[in-house]
Amino acid sequence: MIDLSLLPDFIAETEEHLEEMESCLLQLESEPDNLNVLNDIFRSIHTIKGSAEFVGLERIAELSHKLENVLDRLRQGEKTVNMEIVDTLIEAKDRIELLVQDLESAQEEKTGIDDIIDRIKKVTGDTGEQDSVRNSQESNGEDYGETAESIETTDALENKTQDEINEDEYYNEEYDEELFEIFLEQLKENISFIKTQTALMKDSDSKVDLFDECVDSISRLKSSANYMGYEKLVLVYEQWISRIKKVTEGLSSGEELFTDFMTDYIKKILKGFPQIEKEDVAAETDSKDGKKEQSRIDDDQDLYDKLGSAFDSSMALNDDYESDLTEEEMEEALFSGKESGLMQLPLIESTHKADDETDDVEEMLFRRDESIPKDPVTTEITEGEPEKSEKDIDLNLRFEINDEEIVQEEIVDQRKGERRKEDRRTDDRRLFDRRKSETSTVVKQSVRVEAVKIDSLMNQVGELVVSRAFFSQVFNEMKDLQQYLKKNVKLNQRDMKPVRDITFKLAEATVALGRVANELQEGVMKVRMLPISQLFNRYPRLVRDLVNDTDKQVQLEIRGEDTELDKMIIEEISDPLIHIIRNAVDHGFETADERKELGKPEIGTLVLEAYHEGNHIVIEITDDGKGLNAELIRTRAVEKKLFTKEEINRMSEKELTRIIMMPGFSTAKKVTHTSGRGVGMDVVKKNIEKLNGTIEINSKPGIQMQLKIKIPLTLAIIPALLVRLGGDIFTIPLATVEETLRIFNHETSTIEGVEVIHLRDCTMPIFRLSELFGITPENLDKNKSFVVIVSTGMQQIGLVVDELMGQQEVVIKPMEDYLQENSGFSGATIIGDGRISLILDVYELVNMTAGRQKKRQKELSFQRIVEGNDGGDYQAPVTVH
Amino acid sequence: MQENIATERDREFEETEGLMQLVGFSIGKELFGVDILMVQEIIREAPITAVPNSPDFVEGIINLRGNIIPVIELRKRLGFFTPEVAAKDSWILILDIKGRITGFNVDSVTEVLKIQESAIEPPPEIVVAGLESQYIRGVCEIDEKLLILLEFNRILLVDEIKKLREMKTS
Repeated sequence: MIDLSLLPDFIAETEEHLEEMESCLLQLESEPDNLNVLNDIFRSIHTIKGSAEFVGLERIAELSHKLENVLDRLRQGEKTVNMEIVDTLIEAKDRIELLVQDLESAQEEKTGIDDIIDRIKKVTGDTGEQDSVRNSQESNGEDYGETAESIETTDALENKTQDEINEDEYYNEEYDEELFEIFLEQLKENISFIKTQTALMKDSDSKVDLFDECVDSISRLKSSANYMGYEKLVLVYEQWISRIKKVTEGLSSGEELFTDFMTDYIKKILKGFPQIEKEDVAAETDSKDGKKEQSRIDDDQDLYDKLGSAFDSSMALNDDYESDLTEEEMEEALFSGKESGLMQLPLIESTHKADDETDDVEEMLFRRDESIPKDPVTTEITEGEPEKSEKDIDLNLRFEINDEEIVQEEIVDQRKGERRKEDRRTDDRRLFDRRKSETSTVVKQSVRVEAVKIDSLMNQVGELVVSRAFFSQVFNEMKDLQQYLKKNVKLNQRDMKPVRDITFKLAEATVALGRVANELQEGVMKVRMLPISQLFNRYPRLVRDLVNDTDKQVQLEIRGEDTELDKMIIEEISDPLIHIIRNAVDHGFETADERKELGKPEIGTLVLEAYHEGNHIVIEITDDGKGLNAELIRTRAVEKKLFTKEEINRMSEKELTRIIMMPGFSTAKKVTHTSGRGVGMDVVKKNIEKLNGTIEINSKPGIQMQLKIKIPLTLAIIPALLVRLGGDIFTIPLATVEETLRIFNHETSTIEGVEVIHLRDCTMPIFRLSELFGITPENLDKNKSFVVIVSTGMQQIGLVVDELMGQQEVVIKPMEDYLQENSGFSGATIIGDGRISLILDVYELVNMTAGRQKKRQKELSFQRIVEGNDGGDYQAPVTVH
Repeated sequence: MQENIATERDREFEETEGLMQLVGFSIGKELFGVDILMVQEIIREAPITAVPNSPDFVEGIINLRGNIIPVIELRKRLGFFTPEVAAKDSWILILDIKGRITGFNVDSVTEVLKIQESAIEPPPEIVVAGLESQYIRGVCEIDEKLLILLEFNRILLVDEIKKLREMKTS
């Protein structure tokens, strides 16, 4: 059964682990002897396995279990890492990914795993027999094939007696702490359940039922021990179950009931897990009734445990505790420290006493108190108020405890009255030390937050940004008022003073608000920021797969992977980047032989680089392949009737590169086959533009090809240029603004129906926005107009506006889709005075103007045909959509 | 006691069942109604920002406490020929139409009207007040006047609006 409630967490977690695993696997490929990498992979897969079993995902669990086996053998040096194994591992990892995707879409595992498991077996030369041989030889109880395991364990059941199993080695040093906790929790629950059942047995009529319930719970424990990889423990459980079965059979044939073996087992198991007992005790004392049978061991365990914790604390007192020791190591340290401990003797005595005599919890408690006075340190407390101390113990035991440390501390308190404070302090310190070391060992601590929550926070911050703008405006109005009062009302200095004061205060308040708003905005944005390594780390694999089976050699270089950007943008540019990289590898690079002939290094280099540039992130994808073939683009473009021959010949290199991003062009298979680039480049362009980004292509034929993607760091709040058109204010994202000019009307000229200006020896088309939007312009100066040069990365146009209003941070708010689609606006924003300003979608505008341009050209050529009809040989330029 | 409350509630329910509360509003001389449950709020004139290249009947967008909301000139949307009165104090009805918060310009708003649902008649075949029957959910008589219940789901048929705009821009 799959636990659906755990599924989303599982998916998120597993995806992370898989990602990590992939980069490790690729590293392993290049450094087969790196044991650290191997361990990292092992850890990832182990965690996946554990959580998969916990959630109830059989296939993922099985597959990861198999992988674990392989990895373990690699780790042990029984196998050496070779290409085949790495390939298989990668494939298996992909399979797990597929399964996770299944889960995401259908909440169940669909993809089969049999073939991949066969392959793993083949690669490692694994057979069941080998496993079982190894199994009996090894003392390390982890990681064997499941089939082999079952064969082995049944054998073992017959051959091994209980005593042969060393119960102290139930668990391996290497375990996942989180999983271990879950495991302990479950162990605790089930054990206490079994205890209760056992206790009830004596007086119950339905003994067989009770036994059955116990068997159920033991089976559960067994499976959990299995997923933790505690082989020995599994064996113990199996023995237990078979023992119970025998007893129940005996019961039905009228044999006398004896339950001692149950308690023996419990005792035995608990011994292996000292961590659980203290908690166990808490549960125990809660339900005192009918527990004569096991109270003995409980108390035994209880004291054993207290002893342990007492030493634990005294250890902590003595030296700086290494907090990332494993539980086992801690235990070891404890016992080696016995000699120095003060508490040892009396406590052990009490343990014996308890063991021998007690039948009853209460009695037991008294007895312990009696034994305690022998301890010189605690005499005062216990002798003085035995009754109270009993209560104390009771209370402490009843206390529902989650934190081990607290339990220890409390018990220590009782025992070591005088040293109480000291201990607490050391305990605290130890806790602190542990936390500290946790933060330093764990790479980054993170909190999972729903994206929606951050978005709504972002919205609020957006509102704050608007209010900030409002405040500055109020301040400006106040200044105007001050001026007015001074000049027009002619207030004297004394009357002016309060006005000036208020203006000053307002200024201060505005600045303060601005500062807080800025920081808050920055902070919230940072929350959404993630290092781009998240994205880049996916690509080594891609390149590897692409190069595989070709005669090309490509090495991927990643730079600036720590550069951070908005999580949403990361998701959005993932696919375009894949596309670009695929193009570069498929078509950009020459084969190794070709490169040799050309005198280039045989291994091609693909560089992925990210860096910040102002409020933008720039991603550069550079390859040292053959670049674009301008001539081919020209011919294909004409063939495809995208442009006329005259047009194409007039085009600069830069304009030519733009062609490859045109929709019609990209699908041309022939072109892509010979010249490379172009498949789906229009999609790439669209995706980037959707993010308000720009894309630039720099090609040096034969040397290199570079794609430069520039994207704003975040989408929610952008710096923008406000312009006025008639009575309305429009917003142009600053990202697209190249420069602003002021031109005289006579500086414009018209070429083929398009208004152009000359800017630094270039002609640049200009468009009057007022015309485009049907707004009556209100120019301040009839002879001059303002032009905002905007760029889409590949293309620049000038937009004529009435007035430049200044620069401001604006919050983008979406409009209803029927207003926004193809309208030339990407949204709206609220400016300082509460008015709405529409945000121009520069790309859309360029497209719109291009459409208009074509239409106009058509009209013009039509006119020319009509006019030039007599000329005879005049050929109208062919215009094709 | 509990039973009493229950029956009382039942009775109350029976009474309110079949009773519909409408917000009445007028455009020109015609009286219209919209289910009160759809009305999010009614605001006085707000500064409207025109959106270039949008359909004629889209008056523009307004800033409603930080949200951008389109405002539709109902008169134009319904294709009324009633001469546009220079309504100085026009109102904007903010309606929630299947999650799309949209404002509608109307001349005036009346009080809340209660009518029996049974009193609503299906739209007549013939054109009422120069209004296509597809935009009408029903009509009913109130104080000897004809009240037209508008079908706002139809009025704000987004696909249609998109098409209208395409026709305009092409």
